[in-house]
Amino acid sequence: MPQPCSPLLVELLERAISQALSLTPDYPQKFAPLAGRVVAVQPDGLDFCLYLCPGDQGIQLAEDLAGAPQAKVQGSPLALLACLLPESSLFSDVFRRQIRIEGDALLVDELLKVFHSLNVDWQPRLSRLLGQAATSQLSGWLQDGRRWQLELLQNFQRDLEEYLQYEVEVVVPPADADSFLDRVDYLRNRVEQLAARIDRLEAAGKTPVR
Amino acid sequence: MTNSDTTHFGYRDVPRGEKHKLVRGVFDSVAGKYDVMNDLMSLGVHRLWKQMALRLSNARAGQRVLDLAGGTGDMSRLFRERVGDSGRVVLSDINAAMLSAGRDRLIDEGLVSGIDYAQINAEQLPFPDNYFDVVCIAFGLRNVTDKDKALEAMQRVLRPGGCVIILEFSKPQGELLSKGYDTYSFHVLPLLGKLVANDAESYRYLAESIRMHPDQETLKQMMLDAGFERCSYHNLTQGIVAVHRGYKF
Repeated sequence: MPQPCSPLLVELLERAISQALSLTPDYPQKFAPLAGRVVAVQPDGLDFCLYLCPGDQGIQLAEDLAGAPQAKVQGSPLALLACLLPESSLFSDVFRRQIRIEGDALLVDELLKVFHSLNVDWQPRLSRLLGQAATSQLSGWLQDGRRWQLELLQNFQRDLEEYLQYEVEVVVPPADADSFLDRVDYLRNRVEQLAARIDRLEAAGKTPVR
Repeated sequence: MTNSDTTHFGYRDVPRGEKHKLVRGVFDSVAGKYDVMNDLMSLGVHRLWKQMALRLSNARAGQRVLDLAGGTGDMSRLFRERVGDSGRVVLSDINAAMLSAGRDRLIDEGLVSGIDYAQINAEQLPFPDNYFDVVCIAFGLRNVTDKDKALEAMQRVLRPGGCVIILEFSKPQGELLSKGYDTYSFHVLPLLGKLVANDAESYRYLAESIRMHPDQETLKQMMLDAGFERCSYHNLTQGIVAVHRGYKF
């Protein structure tokens, strides 16, 4: 049985999450429908369990629970963190398959959807620290950087596909694979039809002629 | 060892019926300077101890919390923030002066809704069975005349699945720390009390009552005897203070 998590660590984590959530204007309403339900998170290799308690104030963490949680999520720390990334993210796709869910999987799915729907608006807080002009400039750079990163990722993905499909030919292009599979299906149907015809002919041959 | 008709009041044995009057005298005397003295005596560390107790309670939004011997409302304020608008906190104390100071302070801080006030004895709680999600008593149990009776009352009003949190001075771990702590308690504390609150005796009582309070293991056993389950404690500042937690199932 995992040990309760250090209360200080839980406090720090909860404060960090609260700070991040406070940059999202409508976060209490998003968590409110999940109020009263508890999801346990147990990272592999770390001997503790953390309980996420969504409610109308956002999300609260607990280091111990008297009863049983409605759902339990297990996985490597990296996989658990990657789950919080947007669904379209490459890391999220890769790591999402590495987590294990016990209990109410729908609850976990709903909780993740809430996290993914949070649109953290960090600009107002940053502008208080850096000023409007600097924040605007920084925001522009970050948007450019994000666009560049997306393009880079798409280009890399396309180049890798082409290299694997046409240069080293270790991966079949999707169109060729579909065509091949269609032909296999056609052949299978023909074989089944032929087998049925043979069965009928054999049955006819065994029937005595009057 | 006290017989059944007497109990401790610091190092003195006094009739059981007298203790609450003597304790009331102490707190009537210090109520006005209580918060300042807490900060001075603990160098502000009492705030961390209280945060730790709050965290260990795992109180959540919408829950009902009973803050026993809540005094000037430090714990109630923290619990109120945690349980939110959908929750409820009852700040209680046997001492009217402390409760009044607590209520004034919380109202001054803008905390009006979600907190109720009750002047009650922790041994006789006027609440229904299975009512609160969390019962907390911070730096109050050592002043209670019949601790076993108080623990049983807390267990009664706690709902199944709820927990009791007892934040209290305890036995320091380590010989050197104990000696330093004794010197501080019996020489520095009364002096601070004299200088700030003009009341050395009350702070001498504080030091004596801490020494007479059950140590970590004894209190844990008392909680088990009162019907709490999964009892545990966390030493803070090397055991000068301990947070005990027990569940009711």
